[in-house]
Amino acid sequence: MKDIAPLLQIENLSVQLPTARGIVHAVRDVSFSIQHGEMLALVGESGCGKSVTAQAITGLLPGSAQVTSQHATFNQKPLFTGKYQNGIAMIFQNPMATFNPVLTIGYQIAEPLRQLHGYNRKDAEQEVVRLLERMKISDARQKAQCYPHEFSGGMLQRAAIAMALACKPQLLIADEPTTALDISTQHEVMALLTELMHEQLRAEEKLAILFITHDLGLVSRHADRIAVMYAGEIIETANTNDVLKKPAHPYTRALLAALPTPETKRLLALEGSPPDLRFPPAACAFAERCSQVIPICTQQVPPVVATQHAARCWLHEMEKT
Amino acid sequence: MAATLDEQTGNLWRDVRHDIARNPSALTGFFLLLSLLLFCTFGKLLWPDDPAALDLTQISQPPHLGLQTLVIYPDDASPVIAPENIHALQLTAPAHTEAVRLAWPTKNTMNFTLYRHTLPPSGLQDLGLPLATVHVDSTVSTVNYIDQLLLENRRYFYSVVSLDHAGKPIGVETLAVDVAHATPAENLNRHDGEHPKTIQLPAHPFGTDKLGRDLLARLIEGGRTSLFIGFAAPMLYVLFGALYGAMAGYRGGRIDTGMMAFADFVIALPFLLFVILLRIAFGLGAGDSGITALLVALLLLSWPNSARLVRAQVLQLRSMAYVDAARLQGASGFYIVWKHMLPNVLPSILVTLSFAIPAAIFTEAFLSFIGLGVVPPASSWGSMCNEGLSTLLTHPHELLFPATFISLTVLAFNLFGDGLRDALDVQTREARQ
Amino acid sequence: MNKLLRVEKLYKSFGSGKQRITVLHNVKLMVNSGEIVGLAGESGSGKSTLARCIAGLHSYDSGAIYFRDQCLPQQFSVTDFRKQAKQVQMVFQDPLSSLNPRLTIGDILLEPLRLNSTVPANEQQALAVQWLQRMGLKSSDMSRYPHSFSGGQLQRIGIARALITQPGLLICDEPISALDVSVQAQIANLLKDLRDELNLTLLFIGHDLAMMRYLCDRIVVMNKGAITE
Repeated sequence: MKDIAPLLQIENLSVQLPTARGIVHAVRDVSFSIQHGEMLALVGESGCGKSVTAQAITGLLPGSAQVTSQHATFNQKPLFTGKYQNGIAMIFQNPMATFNPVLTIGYQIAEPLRQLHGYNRKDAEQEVVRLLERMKISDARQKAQCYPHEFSGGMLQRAAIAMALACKPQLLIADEPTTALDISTQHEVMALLTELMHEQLRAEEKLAILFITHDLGLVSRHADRIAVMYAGEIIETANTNDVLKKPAHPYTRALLAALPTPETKRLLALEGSPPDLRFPPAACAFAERCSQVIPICTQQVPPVVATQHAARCWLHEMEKT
Repeated sequence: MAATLDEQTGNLWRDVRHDIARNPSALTGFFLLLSLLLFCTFGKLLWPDDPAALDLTQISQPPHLGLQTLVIYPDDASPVIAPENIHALQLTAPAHTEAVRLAWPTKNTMNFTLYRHTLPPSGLQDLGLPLATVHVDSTVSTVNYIDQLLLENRRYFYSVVSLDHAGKPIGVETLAVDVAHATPAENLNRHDGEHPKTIQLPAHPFGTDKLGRDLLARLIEGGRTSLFIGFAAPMLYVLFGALYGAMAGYRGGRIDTGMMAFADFVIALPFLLFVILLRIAFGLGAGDSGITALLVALLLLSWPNSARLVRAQVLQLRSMAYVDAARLQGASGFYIVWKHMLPNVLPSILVTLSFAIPAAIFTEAFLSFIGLGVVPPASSWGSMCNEGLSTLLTHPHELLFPATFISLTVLAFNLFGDGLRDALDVQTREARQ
Repeated sequence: MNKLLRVEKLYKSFGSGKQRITVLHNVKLMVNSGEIVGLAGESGSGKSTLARCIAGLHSYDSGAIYFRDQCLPQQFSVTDFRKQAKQVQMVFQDPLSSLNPRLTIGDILLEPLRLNSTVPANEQQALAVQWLQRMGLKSSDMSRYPHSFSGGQLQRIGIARALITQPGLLICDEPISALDVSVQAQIANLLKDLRDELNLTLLFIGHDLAMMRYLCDRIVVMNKGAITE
């Protein structure tokens, strides 16, 4: 898989958002890539820049935002051209806000089909039903005539996925699609997404997913690779198993420790809060809250070594050398 | 969205002040308002003229700072120039606003028409106002004419057209005359026994109206009326509407439905009809000031809009968790409305107010203009516009000044209100940054 | 262990006529003094409604709620709320909407003390600061407004407001669902510590079974308006 060019490649992406109280360095020097048909989970706390990264890729950031990147390609074509990027679709956190409440679900799913792919009314209708059925929505033909408020949260999110799929994307960006849902529904949606990926893989229409969440536990079973973000930087990238079994960065370890398991006696909660991104630290951003901090942590930014299991931590760096 | 944790105290009013200070149009509006308020409140101290005093010596006078006037005594004999000395159209005495004495020789024809123009005539078709057509018999060698028709202190162009027997013009002669301001002595009411040739008349920086009242004093006086109605009415009806809406929204259910149905009923009432009915109910005849009737009509009919706005907000606030939290602490309904809802509704009430005030000023002006509002001698900017309309063509300043003041006030409020709304709206605040 | 709260055959429905929806259906629940009871269930299962009925924010149709062996009225009046204010308090799901954005943290914390004052006025301020520090915040935060805090901090302020009058029962209505995983752990630990420290009784509502297993002594599952487990 490594020898073919990745679907999405981002190198040294930085985003600066001007606000009333100063410029927020929301994303700082972030590099990652997504292969065809792969699910990459971008994990981090709120405010760590994961959503901003996604918005930068889709071009949804406000005009005042400053996006810089050394090298950014999607399908080997340059990104950040300010034009509509064909092949990327997005689903959002709040399914209720994704849909316009005064139009039927079916009409809204058909919109990209008719606008982008030139379907006529009848074909679009059929395609909508097919998409909804694929999303395991029963009575798809009737449900397509319903309005958003008649759907439950989980169903609405599935319909949102159907709408995203109507764009026939190669990359689906899911921005915390499960946060607003119940635990059981969360897993339903996750299972659906994974199944969808496998289906597409078989159909040779590879679909990659960039899954954004704050819940490591949720993606542990589904994602191929995990990238952990903290304070605007990606601090660890590796295969899911590697991250879960041998977390290299203390922050990842802390995140894992915060998840309750039946055996947990006491959760290890991280104290303190992330640094203010208006004044990003010139050293390791996590040093202040790290339990294994060593002197160099507060002086220099740790380097990232681009290997299978990359981590931005001095301890990790020392282990290697 | 990135977390922007601010270490400072996030104070809404400080942010609002900051926003307005950075918004040039809102700032302009604010200072304009301030100066208008100062003009109306302290203007009278600086310009203590009586707005109702009639100055017969200065009728419809354009703006001036002090005016030199000739005093005309009844026994003044004008010097007579012998007819043989008159060879062309000329003045027989110094021209002033009480009389312009003209004379011209008859020469070959006996028929003349005399015209007066304010601009230099450009041809036979453009000689101005025809003053007189004169027939004389052949024994007369000069014609004398005294023009006393609505003279003003300015330059006039008199033209004499000589006509043949058929009434065809055969010659024209034009004379430019600078007319000085003059006042008959009996209008001055001087009892000191002196008989000065000229005196200094009081200054009228904004001119006078057709009854010789000082426009500046009337603008100050009228501004007080206009701004009083503009402030008092919206303050009262927005306050009432807010309380009504808060009550309806907080109680909810049937009370809400009933109260809002009544509000809708009030919206449906025709405003003008109500104003007329109220004037009758108050027994207002000629000469009564109509301020009370106007105020009551505004109060009775304008509150439902703010009631609706506040109700919608309160309905939304009612479901907020902090209201539940306060109820759990045993807070009374009044406490919740006062402490938790009002501070959250206040910004939109303020914005409503900042747009209701110019609307009320304009309504007052409109009603006074069509004669349903403030009645003379009380003045308001609207009624001044109404009075100024009759002299619009000859003395436009009488309409121009009050109209400018109304426009400036409404503009200032709108600019300021726009800025206030932007500053108070958290969503647009974030979008702008 | 004595029974603090007993809910018997509780019924509750919303709407009227054809649109009547029964939300609570013969609900029985018991909470003993000093324990953390988890109330789990999907959204729409009626767990929040039950919590609000116990707190008095909703009226109930039939059945009975006993608190310290006293039956609570079906419909709370302001006086009832005042009576119960020191017995039952709630922590809400959305940390931002549970704090009035126009009040300072100090005002928010002092409000319960001012409303049910057994604490003399000159000690209220000190007590509020003390609670704020207990929640890991600084005393200088008293004069700040809610929007300048993070979700976890806001939720801690919400907990402080609920506990400052030292109620017998604290109902937590999904207090951590809206928070990040790492912050969830902070709040969960905080609640556990507070229980040990103050001998609190907690009714904890959530949908994350793993987290509830960690936090609660006993878990009750609700489904479609009835308690199933």
